[in-house]
Amino acid sequence: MSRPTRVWITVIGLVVLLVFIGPFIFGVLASVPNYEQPIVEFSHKRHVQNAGIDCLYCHSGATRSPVSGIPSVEKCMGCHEHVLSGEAPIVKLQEYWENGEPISWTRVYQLPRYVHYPHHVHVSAGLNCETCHGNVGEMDIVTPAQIPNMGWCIRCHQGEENAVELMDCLNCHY
Amino acid sequence: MKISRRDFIKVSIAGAASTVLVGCQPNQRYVELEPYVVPPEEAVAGQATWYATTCGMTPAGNGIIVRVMNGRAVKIEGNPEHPLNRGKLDALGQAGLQLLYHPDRLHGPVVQETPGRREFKPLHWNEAVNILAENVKRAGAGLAIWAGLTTSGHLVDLFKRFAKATDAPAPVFYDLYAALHSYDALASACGGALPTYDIRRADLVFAFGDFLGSGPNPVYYGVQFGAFRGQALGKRGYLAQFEPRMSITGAVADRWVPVKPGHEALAAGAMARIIAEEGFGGAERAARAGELAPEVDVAAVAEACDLEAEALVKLARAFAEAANPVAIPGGAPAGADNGVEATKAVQILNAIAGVGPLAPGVIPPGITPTTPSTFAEAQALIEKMQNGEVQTLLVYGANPVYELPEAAGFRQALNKVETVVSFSPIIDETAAWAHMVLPERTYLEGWGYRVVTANTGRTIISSRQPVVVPFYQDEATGPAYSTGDVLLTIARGIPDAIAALPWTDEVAYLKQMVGALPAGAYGGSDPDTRWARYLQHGGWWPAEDAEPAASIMELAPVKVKAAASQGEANEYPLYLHVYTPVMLGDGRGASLPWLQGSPDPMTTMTWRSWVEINPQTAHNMGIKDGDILKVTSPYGSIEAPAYVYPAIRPDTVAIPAGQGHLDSGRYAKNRGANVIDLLGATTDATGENLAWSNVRVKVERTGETINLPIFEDKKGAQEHLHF
Repeated sequence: MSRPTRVWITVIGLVVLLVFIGPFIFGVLASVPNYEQPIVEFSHKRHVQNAGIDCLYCHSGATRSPVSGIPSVEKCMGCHEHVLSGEAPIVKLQEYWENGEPISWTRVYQLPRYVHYPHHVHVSAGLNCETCHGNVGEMDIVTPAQIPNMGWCIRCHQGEENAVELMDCLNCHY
Repeated sequence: MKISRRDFIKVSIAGAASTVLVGCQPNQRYVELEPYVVPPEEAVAGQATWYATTCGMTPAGNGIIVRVMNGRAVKIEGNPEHPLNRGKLDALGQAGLQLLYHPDRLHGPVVQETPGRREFKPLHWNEAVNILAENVKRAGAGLAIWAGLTTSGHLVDLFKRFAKATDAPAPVFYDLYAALHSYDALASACGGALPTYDIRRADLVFAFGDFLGSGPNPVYYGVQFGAFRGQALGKRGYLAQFEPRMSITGAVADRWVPVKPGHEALAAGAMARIIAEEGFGGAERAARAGELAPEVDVAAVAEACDLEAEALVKLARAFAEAANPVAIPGGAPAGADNGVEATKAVQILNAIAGVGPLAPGVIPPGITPTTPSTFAEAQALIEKMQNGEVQTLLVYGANPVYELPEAAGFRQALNKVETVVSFSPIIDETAAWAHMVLPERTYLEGWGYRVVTANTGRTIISSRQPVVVPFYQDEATGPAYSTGDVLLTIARGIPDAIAALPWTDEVAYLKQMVGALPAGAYGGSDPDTRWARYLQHGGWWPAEDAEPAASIMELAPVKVKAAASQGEANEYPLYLHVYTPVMLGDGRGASLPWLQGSPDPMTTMTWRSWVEINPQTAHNMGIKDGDILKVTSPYGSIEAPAYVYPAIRPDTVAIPAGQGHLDSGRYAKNRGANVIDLLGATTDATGENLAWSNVRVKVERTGETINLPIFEDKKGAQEHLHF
């Protein structure tokens, strides 16, 4: 094979790979989630283990709303106006508060739009937060304890007494 | 060309390596959650909050509930508790969200040196209010206020108090709704109140205007119409619609009676006379008809109306022999030169049947309804402006430059006014000619109330409260003022006004007003509880939901003539039928893309004006769908594409209002034609009301043709029409 032919084949091969396979690999890499939070030092473990704060104190929607909710900056400042107020991460929090800016937290659990997962129904049925979210009290940076896909939902629902009702499609897809 | 295995592997490795290099970027945070900085007291994450308030898109005063998620209004529905619309809502009301999020809304006050140039510069709110205060103070009795019919009751009261305190002329409340709904003609023919009827248990309705699509209370009548069609024991009311162009009401009617324009009242008078002469409906009804219906030559009237005399007899018999018949006046007949007489002629049918309009509710002290001014009052103010007697003009909730006929002279009169101030949230045609614009919050962000327009037999005060915080609170322009607060702030600097407007802000005014109301449907032993319930339920209305009382009108016989046309028949051969379209209303709907894009229910047209023309007339003139027509009246001309419409009389063309804006935001601007350009400033026989429905026009082809933006397939639709 002549040299110019090989060069051409190399170039064409590169183009083909870039166009067809490049986006796929890029997509895979880009979709690997990074759970770093805007206040990097924020630790669930410190809040739960050291301070002994209950999940529902901050995520107060879990008992009465489909979403558990993320605490407002005002709620964080309710404690941190006095607690550890000189430490670097708290100074960062205070900056948000003084500027009137919301904190853009990174989402850890994300369900598709066509699924409804009402927190209040599950908490009222007696589920602990840890059942789905793992032992968050042991985590500095929270990562998903499991992938919340349909098989995972079904495994729980089919073991219940009223499994027939709980397995109805329209319970979650409506 | 031969490729060895080694070459292939080399190429593949090189490609994969370069791809990986390209793909290696830092990981992205792929979804973010932004909680509140300070959450509203009642907010629960993930749960919507519904606030009850009042629609501001039409003057009807429909109660609405607005779904708010995380501080953003996301959906508007009718308020099921509201006694006017009972959970239902029209297209204009549903689309109100787009006014809130309109991209062309002003972020704060603006000024321009030369009116009409549209070169606006931003201004701080405090500075704008100070400038306005100085102007108002300097103007003294030279202050004038022009407002629209959607204005909140508290502003109506504050405007009136302000004008009185400064010896300024009484504010004018006039807009296109006031004109095209013929409020004043209807009210003056019906004992001073806009006539509203209870048709729920009627077995026959004769309607003389489009009361379901474009009347003053389409949602109220829509609810009533449901009951009218589905009565107990499978009974179904019968509707006959008298109009030259089939409206949405005509489309749902059992019988469409295409009366010659201007002759509707003659048909009503002839039917009344037939009842008397033929003795239809029993001795009592026939005797009443004999007293009230003057003698007419039925055959001649039928010919003038372009109807069969036999058809009139059949209709008269059906009306007289129905147990509970109702005749609904309004529409084009009320807007003719003999609008008051025409309305009375229709009312005679009701008097024969022994029914009357519902009695207006008793308005408690301290509550101000938004009562429209007459066209004559509006013209008187324009004359004052032309004479240089007005130094400062405040325009609120109305767009007179767009809404009034050119001949009314409002645009020219603006040149004689030293300072013109608009409160429009978007630069509309009038704001473009203003010196300063202090954008009012939209009705979803503001306070207020409305006494509902329909006289349903009981008073309904519909509350308005902010469902979201004002959308624009820019740092550069400072915290936004509502117009109520602007007035109260200015009043503090004018000794005469301070006593008349003593409140600290508009909420204090409203709280005082609601606290003084008697206990209504929702009770409340103290003013604070009454205030909370007034906001929670969407307003105040009396507890008892008794059957509304109808008042039979005292009428004298009316000898009605056909409406006189504006324009000679030989020069202008066609009648012009103007109507407010279901989607665009008086033209404010043109600013909202949902409404522009929603097909008109009769033609499926979207995004532009059109001229409805009968297939026979179109055939004779060689006109096809989409041909651009030049429509000329004695007062002006416009161009719009033809829509060949079988449900219109051959001697009539119909054009909807609402388009043809030069301003009013990107979705309305330079789109279609303004049919008001074809109208004159002629008043009716009383000299009080605009005669808008008896104009004649001529139609010419311009030679251009467009594809109509319609949602229906008209292919083959005309094959079954024979000329």
